[in-house]
Amino acid sequence: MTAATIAATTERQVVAFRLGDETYAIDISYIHEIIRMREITFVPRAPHYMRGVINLRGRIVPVMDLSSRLGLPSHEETPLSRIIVVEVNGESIGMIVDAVSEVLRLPEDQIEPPTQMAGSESADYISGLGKVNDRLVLLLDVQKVVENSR
Amino acid sequence: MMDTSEYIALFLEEAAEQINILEQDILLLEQSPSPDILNEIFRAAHTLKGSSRAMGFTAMGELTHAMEDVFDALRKGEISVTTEMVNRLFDALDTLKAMRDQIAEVGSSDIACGALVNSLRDILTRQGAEPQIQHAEKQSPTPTELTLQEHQHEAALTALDSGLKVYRITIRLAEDTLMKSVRVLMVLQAIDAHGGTVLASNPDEDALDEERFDDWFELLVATDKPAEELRNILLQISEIRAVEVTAWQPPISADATVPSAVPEQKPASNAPSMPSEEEKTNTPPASLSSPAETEKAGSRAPVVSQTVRVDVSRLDMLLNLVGELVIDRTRVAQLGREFEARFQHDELVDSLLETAGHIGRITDELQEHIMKARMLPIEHVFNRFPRMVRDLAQRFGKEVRLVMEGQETELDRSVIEIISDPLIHMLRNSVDHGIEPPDERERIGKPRQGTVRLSARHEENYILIEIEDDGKGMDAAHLREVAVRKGVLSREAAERLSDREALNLIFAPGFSTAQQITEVSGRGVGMDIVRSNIQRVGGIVDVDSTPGKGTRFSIRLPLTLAIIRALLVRMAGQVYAIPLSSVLETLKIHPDMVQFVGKRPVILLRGRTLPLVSLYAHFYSGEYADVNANNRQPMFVVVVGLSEQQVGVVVDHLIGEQEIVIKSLSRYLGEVNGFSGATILGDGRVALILEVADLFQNVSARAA
Repeated sequence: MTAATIAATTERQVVAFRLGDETYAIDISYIHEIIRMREITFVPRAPHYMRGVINLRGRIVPVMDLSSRLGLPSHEETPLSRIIVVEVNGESIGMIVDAVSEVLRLPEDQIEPPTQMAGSESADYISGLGKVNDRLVLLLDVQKVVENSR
Repeated sequence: MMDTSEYIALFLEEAAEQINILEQDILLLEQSPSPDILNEIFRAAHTLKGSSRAMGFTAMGELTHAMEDVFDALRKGEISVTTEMVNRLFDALDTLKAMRDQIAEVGSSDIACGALVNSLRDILTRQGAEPQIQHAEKQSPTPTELTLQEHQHEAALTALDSGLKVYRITIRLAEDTLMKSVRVLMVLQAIDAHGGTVLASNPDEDALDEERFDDWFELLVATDKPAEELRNILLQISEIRAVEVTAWQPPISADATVPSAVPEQKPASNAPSMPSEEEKTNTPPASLSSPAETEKAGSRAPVVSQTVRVDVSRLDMLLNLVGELVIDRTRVAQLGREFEARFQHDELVDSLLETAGHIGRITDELQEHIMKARMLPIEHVFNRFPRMVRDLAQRFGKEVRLVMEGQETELDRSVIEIISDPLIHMLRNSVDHGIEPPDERERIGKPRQGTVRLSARHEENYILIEIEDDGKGMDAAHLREVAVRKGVLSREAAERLSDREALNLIFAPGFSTAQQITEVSGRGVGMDIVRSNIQRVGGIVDVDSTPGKGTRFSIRLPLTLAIIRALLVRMAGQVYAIPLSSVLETLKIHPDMVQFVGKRPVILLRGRTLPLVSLYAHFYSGEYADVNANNRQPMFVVVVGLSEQQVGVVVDHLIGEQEIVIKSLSRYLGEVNGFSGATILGDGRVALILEVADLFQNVSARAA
């Protein structure tokens, strides 16, 4: 970590994860828990990116394939695949990601608006771009990802 | 001044109860006034007047006072019941309701009632009676010795015989106690909650209710608690200054063998008075309420409430917890079976199975009791109907008698909430469209007064509610005609419908047969909403009608919405649950039995054609024929019914019946039709619950 990260007074804590070759991140305040892949009950007639519902300790939680939600090619499940369960407006929803890498601290001044991404399909769901050790991290607009799926 | 806020909730609840009593009794008053009703109605008005004044709601107090004066004059036979009077009393009652609701919402009421009060006073002056200003009840008789009625004395002796202790408890209230009856109630509840039974009181129960005592009262209580404990329990109630508990001994004197049967003196206002000259002939003189009768009513054994009020949210939470337990019970039982299969009869496995079985039984019982605790008599919905039907009949110039049966039938409060609106709508329909005007009825040889019968009863795991009228009925041919004209379905489709099916057209969206649109029933949005509301809670509504004779609606409802029995089936590797309430039977058929009408697959079942729906084709894609083209295996069919329609659902396997806990699907899943929810199975997996109506939508869409 650079000196700037540590010194920064305002920084955002995010959970970074992989979708294909890219690194995305979700603000840690949304994260309810991160679980291994488990059997998902398919729900006919649900939107195509919805993989179905799971039983999370007695609660029925819908799970989406985040890649296909963002218009990216879906990947085969691997032992590294995880379901990130986020809580938005008091309700839970799971998102399948290829792997969860780490918790990062992003200084606010290192986050740029997603203008340079204009034109790409997932741009709508990105709230900003962060840089950590020369690595580009795409910050996900969780609210949008979830709400639009209604 | 004391802070009255802690009493508001109690006051509101009590006010709602009294208003309810008033409403029912005023109706009875109109039909057949009797001294009992007059006394009850007077008491209710009196209680309400007292409590609203004590809480500082003067307008409410004034209005009830004016009503009370009318009841008092009626009771004394000074005036008699007229329709006009009943209408005014109902107006006053509606205003009271509005005031109460406003107080519930914003803590005070600014509804004016001056005109109403005057119109009530007007009744008195016009019928020639002086408004009653003095109320003898207001005297506060000083309690005398605790005298026991014979049955009370016996009850005390029986309690002693059975090893309980009987105490005489004297309770002294703080001098500035604002609502004495509230303290009384809290004392009675505290005694009840600790297993005590109140055998007698001084003054009697009515006097306690109406606060006709100074600042102390006495109770005779049977309990198994020591005196000191009882005393401490009661002292915890606020505004109680002192509690004396002494052991009661059966008197050895002559008093004991000849228990005093002398009731407390009733106030002078109950003295008989002469019937006034204006007495109408059809009114039994209220003055017949002889002293003997009032005494009997006044000295009845104190009815100590054996109930505790519980917040609804607490019951909901209990049910949720039991729901979790039901799921885990199923899972534990399944784990037990898996262990048994793997380890045979190991000692530990046997012990696990035994425990699992025990947990299962306890859970069943717990579930049953909590379900029962949530049950309310359907009376809670039915109560408002007599008044409503009366008002409607008056407005439409009809004469209607409402007969209600089975008000005591109990069902889950969640179902009660949902059933109310559909019932209102259907009753309105019966009065508005069903029952003919009196003259027309007379002409065709029916009694002038039409009858609407509303009944509720249990049938197996359902409750059956029927609304039946002896009105003009519905004509299937006419309904077909209207449906075609309104574009609800094509002429060919209409011709194909049986008469029974044609009657069900009234539930179709956009269908209304009313010649003219009335304020009350119908802009054609009614019956389809009624049906969808009922179906949403897993109910079924059906209609049967004979032209000229009348119409009958029947509604079948599940007893509860939270836990149901379901048939589990497998399709495309997943388990689905079908509510057992809709399942008529299951079949195993050979593919050769399937015939095609056009592209629609059907089988012949006992001479009837049964349309088939492949669950796979229904939810995924393709036609039945494509999905089952090369199938040579026997197929499983679940026959489900909805109203008069039936359909056979083709599934891969039948798994069995099970109790399931219904959980809702997240809104984040998107608009997904066809499922009423999901449930968690014994192995922890999720099964979707099919919405049976959805299976039919496809069938009838194809038919039309």
